[in-house]
Amino acid sequence: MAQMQLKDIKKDYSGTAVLHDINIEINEGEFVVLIGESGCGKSTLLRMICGLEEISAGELVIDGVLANHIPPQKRDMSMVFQSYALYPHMNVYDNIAYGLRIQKHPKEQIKQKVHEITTLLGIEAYLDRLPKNLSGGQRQRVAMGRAIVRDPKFFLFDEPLSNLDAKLRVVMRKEIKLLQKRLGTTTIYVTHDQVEAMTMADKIVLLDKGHIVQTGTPEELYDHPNSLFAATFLGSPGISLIQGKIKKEGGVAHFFTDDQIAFPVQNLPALQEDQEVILGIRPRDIHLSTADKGLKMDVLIHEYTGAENILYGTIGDNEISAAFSRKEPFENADTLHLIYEVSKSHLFDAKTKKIIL
Amino acid sequence: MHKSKLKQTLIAWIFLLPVVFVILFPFAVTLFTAIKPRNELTAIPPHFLPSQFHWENFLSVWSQTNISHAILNSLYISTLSTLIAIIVAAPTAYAMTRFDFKGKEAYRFFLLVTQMLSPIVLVLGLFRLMVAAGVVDSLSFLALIYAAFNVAFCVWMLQSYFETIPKDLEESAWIEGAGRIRSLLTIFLPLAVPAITIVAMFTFVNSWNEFIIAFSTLRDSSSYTIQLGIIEMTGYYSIRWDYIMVSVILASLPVAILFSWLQKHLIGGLTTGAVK
Repeated sequence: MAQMQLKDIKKDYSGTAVLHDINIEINEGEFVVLIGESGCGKSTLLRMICGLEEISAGELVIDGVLANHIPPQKRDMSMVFQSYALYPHMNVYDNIAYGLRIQKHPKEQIKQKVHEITTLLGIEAYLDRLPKNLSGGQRQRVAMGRAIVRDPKFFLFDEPLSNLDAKLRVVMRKEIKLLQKRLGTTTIYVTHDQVEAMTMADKIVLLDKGHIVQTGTPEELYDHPNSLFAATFLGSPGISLIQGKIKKEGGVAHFFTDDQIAFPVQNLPALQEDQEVILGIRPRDIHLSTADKGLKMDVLIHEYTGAENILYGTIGDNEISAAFSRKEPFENADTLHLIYEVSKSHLFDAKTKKIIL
Repeated sequence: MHKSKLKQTLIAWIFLLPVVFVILFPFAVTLFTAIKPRNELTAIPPHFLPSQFHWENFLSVWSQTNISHAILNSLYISTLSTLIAIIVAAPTAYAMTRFDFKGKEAYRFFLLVTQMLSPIVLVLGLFRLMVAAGVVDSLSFLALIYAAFNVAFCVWMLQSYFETIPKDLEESAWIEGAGRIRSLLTIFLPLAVPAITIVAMFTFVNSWNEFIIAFSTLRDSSSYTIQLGIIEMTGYYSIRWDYIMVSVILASLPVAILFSWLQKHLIGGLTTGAVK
């Protein structure tokens, strides 16, 4: 069993609260990603989970047992730090064997386990090397090897890919996910990179300034964000936000921007006359159209990524970005006409910044 | 490129040579005086270079004077003071870098201020303390005093260095199951050893060279340190400058050897922690 509940967890430093009412359920085998901007409290939360920080209030329950005061040595977790925290005076073998020696495994068993793990990670040739003689990717693998070899109940990752170059990050993302799937170990992963969160998580916990904004699967957060923050945080290129007001005609809601451009929106019952709202449209929900049907976009920047054409421009005074896959025929022009999938667009209240359902 | 480098070298050495001469001249005088025949010591006009090299002066000094005993006393005091200073300073520096406690900043300031106090200012008070405690002439108590004088510097230097040892490493060890003591001994200490070694050397050298407190508090010649042993030689009916110079060389040798051996580490040690 390897499940965890965080119940009303709070953290404060000398009266300043940094985490408020954190409630998370982590099920066995789940890959949970804690994501948010720098300073939102995600690393602090991870440190509280593994016992490196005290919990100011609330309960951390691991497999039915209250764990608030269990020291980190006894929580049966392993952690991959952002800096990897490899012991610089020990070679790769000793780094990986350290935890096993503390657990008093026999020498032969340690040798076998270390060789097994290093072969799995492709670093068996570096057993005699010191960390300073390894590349970033190799160090990362050693850190992972050290975390895996003890077969703990939980894997904790604190932004492990931040120090790697973009290409290696993609490779390691895949490796970590494959490894976790193969081992089935409950994993808690902290990152500020939304691509990592979207591609790796079974469950995402989005944090902002110490509060949980939304919890759910990547699909839930992407397709049904509960707030402006959630909508803008996930997705690349980011969601386009258009400010405007609701006008009702015959009970049907219509959306007009400040410069009186009409954007089609869903006729949600909660919409009020003169309500100030923000319309959110994802770039990939936008498609090319003809002059008579679409909204006229003035193109400012065109990015070609190989797989897609990404356009940045304006509709009237309103900034918008659109992404067309290679399948959509595209001509480089200064103006285009666009339509978008209205059912996939979102409306947020301009004052509360929350989704209007 | 070559020409300008040659020109720069020449100009640099024109300025440096006088400085080098001024620094080396006393050492040269010391060495030559130490091995001069006795009759040339006070000859007029003075001979700079000895006409013969009397290396046996070193043996004479060793067998005829108190110097061997004084060297042993110095070794004992310097070693003991270093040990005490390190045993006190290392855990203090660790606590200053790893723990949060009330009064930490005040303590840091206190350490800084105490380093500004010259021993000469405190000699009278120290002597009265030693008399009251009945430990005048005690080498061990002198070692304790030296340790006390050096602790502030040791803590200051060690703290700077310890701050460069990432906290991550011990935290990683804790998560792997290592208790605090185990992580301290297996992870932290091996990484702290270079800094502790440097700081120990500084303390040893300071204790070895110290004169004022030793002069004020040691009465019996059997407890004299090497520095006092040299002074003792001027108390005879005639001043044996050759013997004094031999003693000066013997007094300087351990420190000179240590310095040359650790030269590159010392410079590193001085700047460690200065720039992150």
